[in-house]
Amino acid sequence: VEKEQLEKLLCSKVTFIKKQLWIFGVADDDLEGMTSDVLEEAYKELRKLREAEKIDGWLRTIIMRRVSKYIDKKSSRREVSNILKDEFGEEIDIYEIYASSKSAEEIFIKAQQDEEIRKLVAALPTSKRRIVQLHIWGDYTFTEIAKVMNLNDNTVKTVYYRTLNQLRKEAPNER
Amino acid sequence: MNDNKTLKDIIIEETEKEIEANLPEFSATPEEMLAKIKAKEKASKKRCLGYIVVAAVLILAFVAIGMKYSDSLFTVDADKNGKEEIVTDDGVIIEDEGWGSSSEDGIVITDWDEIPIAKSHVEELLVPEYIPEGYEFDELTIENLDGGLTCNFLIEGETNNIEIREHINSENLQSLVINDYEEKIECEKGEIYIRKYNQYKIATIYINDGITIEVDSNLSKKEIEKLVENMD
Repeated sequence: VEKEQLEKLLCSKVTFIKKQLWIFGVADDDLEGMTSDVLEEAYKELRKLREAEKIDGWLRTIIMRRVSKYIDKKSSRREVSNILKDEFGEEIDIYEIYASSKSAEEIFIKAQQDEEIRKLVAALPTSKRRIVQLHIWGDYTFTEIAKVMNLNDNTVKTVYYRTLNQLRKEAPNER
Repeated sequence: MNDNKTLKDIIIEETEKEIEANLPEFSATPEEMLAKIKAKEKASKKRCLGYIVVAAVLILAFVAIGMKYSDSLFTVDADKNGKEEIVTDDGVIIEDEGWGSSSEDGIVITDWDEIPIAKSHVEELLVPEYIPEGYEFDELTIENLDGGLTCNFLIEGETNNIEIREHINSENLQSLVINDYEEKIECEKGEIYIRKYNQYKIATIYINDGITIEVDSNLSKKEIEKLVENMD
């Protein structure tokens, strides 16, 4: 792939980078700088990108590395961990299996409950909402989320399933 | 409303909405951001090149200093143009490194007016008061060799030089046996033994127990005699 084409492709991915960073919890004030940092790192390693189709996954790796450093720098990992503990009122280190015949995120929501569920999602505490959004919207694995946020894998899974279970209870129309 | 929406669908839609509503605007466009990054990288490369140049210059400077230092170690006694003058408390002007424990150390005097100062420190030094016509004093080198002193006067002529070597208190004197001379001249200072070496004549004179003088030149015997007799 020509370098010029790759540069154009990279420019087209700025919004993607921005969104990913934001959903990871990068503060608004730091967002442009962080986006620029990711872009710079990607630009410097552009020649390593052999297939343009794989740019999203490649950028995600850079993003996760950057966010991990960012969170570390901001010393907010401990905060995240503490918030989670406070919200649950207990230590979260045991993976609770919520596996049923259907995974929690695949339950159908009745049209009349749609708006109610949206409100519930929006009202979720930030740390919980972030984990759910990163996994569902961002397609990040539990291990990736745990690694970036410096949390235990099981903690992330537990938060995720408990949150979805909570939402499912609010919309008890599982089919 | 779509009846078939899953919780996952709703969460994705809500996340998109949330992002759209809250994502701040950037001051620069993606192209401007990339242009800035490229400019930064270019400047960084330039700076890097600058560092390489500075490093290269420093390395060259260190090599040059090293070579100079190395030269000073090996050419002290051979340097006719001493670069560094050191004036001691006694007023002796020492060029190059001066005295030292190393046999490579020595002093070089290039100014005739400084010879009396050297003489005041080396009492046994015999100074050629008579210099044949067409010759000029060039330098006196005093070296500390084999526990004794060797003082070399170099007197330059237009075509040939005169070299006067004085061995003072040298242990090597004991082994100096003169038996292959061609001619022996009696003078006030003692006996001058002359032998030829190529176009040069080597004149050897025992002054006393501790001093031997050798004169290398292509002077006539008379001139050699005059020269030796006027050494004081």
